[in-house]
Amino acid sequence: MQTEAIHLSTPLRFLIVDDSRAIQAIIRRAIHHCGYEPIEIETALDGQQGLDIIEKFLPHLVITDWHMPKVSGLEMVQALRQMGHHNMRVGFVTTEKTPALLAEAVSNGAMFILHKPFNDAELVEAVTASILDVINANGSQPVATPAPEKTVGVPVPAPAMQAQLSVAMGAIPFRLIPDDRMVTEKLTPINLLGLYSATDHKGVFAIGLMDANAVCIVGGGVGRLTPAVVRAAMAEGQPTDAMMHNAQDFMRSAAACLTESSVAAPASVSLAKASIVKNSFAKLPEILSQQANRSDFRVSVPGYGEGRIAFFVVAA
Amino acid sequence: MRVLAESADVAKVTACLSNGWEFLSGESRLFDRVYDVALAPQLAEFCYFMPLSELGKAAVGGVAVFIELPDANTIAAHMFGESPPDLHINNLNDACSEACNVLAMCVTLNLATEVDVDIGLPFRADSVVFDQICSTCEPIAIYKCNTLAGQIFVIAYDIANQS
Repeated sequence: MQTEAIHLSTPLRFLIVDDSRAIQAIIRRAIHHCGYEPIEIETALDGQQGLDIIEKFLPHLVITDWHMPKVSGLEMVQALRQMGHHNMRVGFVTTEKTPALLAEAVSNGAMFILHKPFNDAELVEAVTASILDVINANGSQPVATPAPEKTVGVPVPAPAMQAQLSVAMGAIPFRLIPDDRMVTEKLTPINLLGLYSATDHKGVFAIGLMDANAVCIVGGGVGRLTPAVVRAAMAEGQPTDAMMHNAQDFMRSAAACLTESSVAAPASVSLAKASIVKNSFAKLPEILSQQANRSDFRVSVPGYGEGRIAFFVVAA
Repeated sequence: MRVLAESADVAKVTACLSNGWEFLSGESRLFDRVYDVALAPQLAEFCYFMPLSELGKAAVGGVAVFIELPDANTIAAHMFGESPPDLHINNLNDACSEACNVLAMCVTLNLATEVDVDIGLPFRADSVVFDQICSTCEPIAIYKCNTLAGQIFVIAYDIANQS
């Protein structure tokens, strides 16, 4: 899974809080798979131990279970916020799925909530996204420096989309699931369609498409809206004006991802136009039937729900 | 009066259990619903029980996971990344406790109930504790998986005769 080591100027500190040493071992392996060097990992068997360690260790990321003896994961996070660690990054690895409790974790600043069972790649992805800002500020230097590979036919690489969403969503945890293909049958009644232009390309270079759920989730996430507000808009299938505005901004910023496209790799891409289209819009089936040069994503935010985003390079 | 009842969507539960077992052991195995209560095991070398209660109120039942030693070795080896001869008994217990956590949640999350169920921490049930469970609870759903080494059982219990 790990392809290259990323050397950092100072050690990256992780705290794993879980009453299961077996799960601690799994999380520890996943952290090593992220490839950061050097790293320091401490472990705690419950929230109380975790709090004791946090005071001295000051981890860059705390990965915690939910259900533990003495002090639960959520209680630990609430306590550490009260202790003044307002910006300490925390992610949950848990079997807990009660929406109200998950929403409470989000409101306490959980950066991700990963449900067991999970696979290593999902945890690596969550960890990587959570500490992106630390890595960027740490002067990371990949040890092996192969030329960045661009996968053939991928307009928007998943890491680029992950990073773009991280910027937009801030501390709101989300999961990006690549390759979940958007199809006509799964479109919502209204959708946001963006047309991108590129230097050295005449006409439309690429198309971006967000279903109404993605507009609500991303638009709501950018606006730091409560899960109840976002879910209400999703249930109505009608994003608010603010959500729409934020989603358009996100689509505009996603143009940067398209410059990393392996399809045509233009020097500059910009959003030329964004508009709402109904799922009956005649061009949509043609767009969605495109087999190559497309990137499809499902974005999932605990407490909000799931939506779909896709990009299609249409330039010859 | 029963508080807990089995999910109508058995396929969803068995799919979750299979997914959970793969996470725990690295092995792909299918779970099936068993309808013959007589097939429920009387105990296993590693029997863990996750208690369930009505939020802020009394116990309503629980879910037990039955694992024999060879499968306990399999999941502990997978989770700890060690070979079975090197595994300490504490690691086997830890892995089986986590197996109970993951597998029992598959059943619990899909139970049909009108109350808010509070999930307790898994604990090891020895023969005395298991006898107590059997004397106060009755199984409402039994799931079984055949492994290379034996069988895994996951059984949901409801406390009988709740008033």
